[in-house]
Amino acid sequence: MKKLLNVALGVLTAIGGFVDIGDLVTNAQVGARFGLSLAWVTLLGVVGIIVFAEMSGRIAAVSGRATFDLVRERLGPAMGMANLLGSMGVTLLTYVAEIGGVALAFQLICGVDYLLLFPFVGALVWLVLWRAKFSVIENLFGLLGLALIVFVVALLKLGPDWSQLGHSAVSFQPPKPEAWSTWAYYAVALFGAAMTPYEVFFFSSGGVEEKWGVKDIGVMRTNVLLGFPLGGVLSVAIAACTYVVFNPLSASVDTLGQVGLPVAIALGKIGLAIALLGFVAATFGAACETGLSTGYSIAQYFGWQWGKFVRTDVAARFHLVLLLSTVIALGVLATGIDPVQVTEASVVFSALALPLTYFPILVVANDRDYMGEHVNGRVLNVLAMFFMVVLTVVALAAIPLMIWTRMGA
Amino acid sequence: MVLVAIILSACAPGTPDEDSWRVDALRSIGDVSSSVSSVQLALQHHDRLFGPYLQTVAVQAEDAAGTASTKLSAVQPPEPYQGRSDTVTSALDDAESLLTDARIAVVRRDSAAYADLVRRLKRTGDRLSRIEDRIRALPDDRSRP
Repeated sequence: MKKLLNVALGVLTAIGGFVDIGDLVTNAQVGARFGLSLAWVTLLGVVGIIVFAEMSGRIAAVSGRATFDLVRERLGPAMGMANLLGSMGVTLLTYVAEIGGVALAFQLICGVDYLLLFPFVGALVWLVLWRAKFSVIENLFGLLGLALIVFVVALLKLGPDWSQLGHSAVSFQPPKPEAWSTWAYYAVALFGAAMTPYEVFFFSSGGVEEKWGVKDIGVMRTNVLLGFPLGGVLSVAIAACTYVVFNPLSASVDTLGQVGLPVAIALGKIGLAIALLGFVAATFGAACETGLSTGYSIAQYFGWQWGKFVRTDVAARFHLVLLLSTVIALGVLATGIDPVQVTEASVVFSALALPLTYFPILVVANDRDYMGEHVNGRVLNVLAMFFMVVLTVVALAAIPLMIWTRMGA
Repeated sequence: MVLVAIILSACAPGTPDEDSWRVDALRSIGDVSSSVSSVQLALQHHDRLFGPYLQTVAVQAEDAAGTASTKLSAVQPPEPYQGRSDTVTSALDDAESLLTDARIAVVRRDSAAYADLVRRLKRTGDRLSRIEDRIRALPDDRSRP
C-alpha cells in the first residue's frame, strides 16, 4: 500500500512538476500562432525527457551518485567543465525566468507591479531552499501544480471544433501567413522547453537525496513513464486553449495574463483562481528546482558536500551557491528586463545546451563499471542515439533561427 | 556560442531597408493588434475576471503597445514607404491612446464604460488588421495611396 502511495505521489508530482514558466509561455504562444501544428514537438520532447530522465534516475539508483559527480570522473575535468558551463548558464537563466514568473503570477493576483514583488519572491525562494525539507519542495509544489489540469477542463468547456484541432495537430506545417523559419524557431523553443536540462539534474540529484537504491528503479520508471506524458497533455491543453481563444482574433500571446484568459472565459472566477494557484505552484516549484540544480551542479562538479539530506553547516558551500545564484537572479531582474523575454531566451539557449547535457549521461549509463547489469539495453541505446542526433540538429539550428526570425517575430 | 550569436545579430540587416521596415511595421502592428484584442476579450468577460487580474491585463497590454509603437517610430522609413509609415504610426498612436482609456476605466472600476470600449477596440482591431493586410501585400502595391 505504501509503495502504491509512493507511485501515485511520484506520478502526480511529475505531472505537476513538468510544466514551468517556459512551458506555460511557449505552449501558449505556439498555440495562439500555430494551433496544434507543433504538438508533435511536445510529443517528441516528452519521449526524449523520458529516455534521459529514466537513464539519469537509474544512474542515481544504481551508483548512489548524481550526474555531475560521475560526468567529471568518467569524462574528465575538461568535458565535465564544458557540461557544467553549458548547463549551468541555461539553468541560471531559467532560474531568473522562474523567479520573474512567480512575481508575474502574484501580480495577477494582487495587481502590484512584479518589479516590486520579485525581491520578496527571491527571498522566499531562498528561504525555502535553505529551510524546507526536500520532500516538501518536491511534493508540495508538484501536487499544487496539478491545478493546471484546469486547462484540460477549460478546453472541454470551450467546446472547440475537435476535427479542426485534430487537423491542425496532423498538419505538420505552419498555418498561413506564418513562415517556415518562424515555425521551425518555435519548434526549437518548444523542444528546449520540454527537455530543459535542470529537470534531469533535479531528478537524478533528488534520487540521491531520497537515497534511491536498485529496488526503487521500478517506482522511478513508473513515475517517469506516467508522469511526464501526462505533463505533456497539460502542455498541449494550454496550447489548444490559446488556439481556440486567440487564433480567431489573430492575436499573439506575450504575457502570463493572456495565458489565463481562456480558463476565465470557460470557467469563470473559480477556474481562474485554480489556474492562478497552478501558475504560482508551477513557477515557484520550478524556481526551487532550478535554484537547487545550480547548487547541485557546481557542488557535484567540485566534489563539495551537497544536498538537503545533510545539515546546512555541513554543506555550507552548496548553500552559499544557492544564495549567490539567487542574488544573481535578482540582480538580472532588477535591470527591469521582462521575465517573459528571459523565458523565451532561456528555452532557446536550453535547446543549444541539450547535447552537452545529455551526451555524458548516455556515456555513463553505458559504463558497466558504474552500472553493472543495469547498463542501457540495445533498444534504449538506439532510441538515445536517435535523440542525440535530434538534439544536435536542434542545438545547431537554435541560434541561426533565432537571428533569422528575430526571435520568432 | 552566445558571443557569436551576439556578433551575428549585429550583422543583421539594419534600417532603413525596405524589407526590414516592412518586417518591423508588421511586427509592431501585430503586437499592438494583439494587445487590443486581449483587452477587448478581457473587457467582454470582465465579470469572469478578478479586478487585479483585469487591471494587470490592461496595464500590460498598454505597456506592450507603447513599446511596439515606440520601436517602430524610431525606425526611419525608406522613401517609398513614407506615406504608409504615416498611416501606420497614426493607427498605432490611436490604438495606444484607446488602450490608455481602457486602462483608466479598468483602474476606476468604471464597468459602465466597458461596452463602449469593447466596440471601439473592435473597430481599432479591424483597422489595424486592414493596414496589416496592405503592408503584407507590399511591395507589389507600393504605388497605391
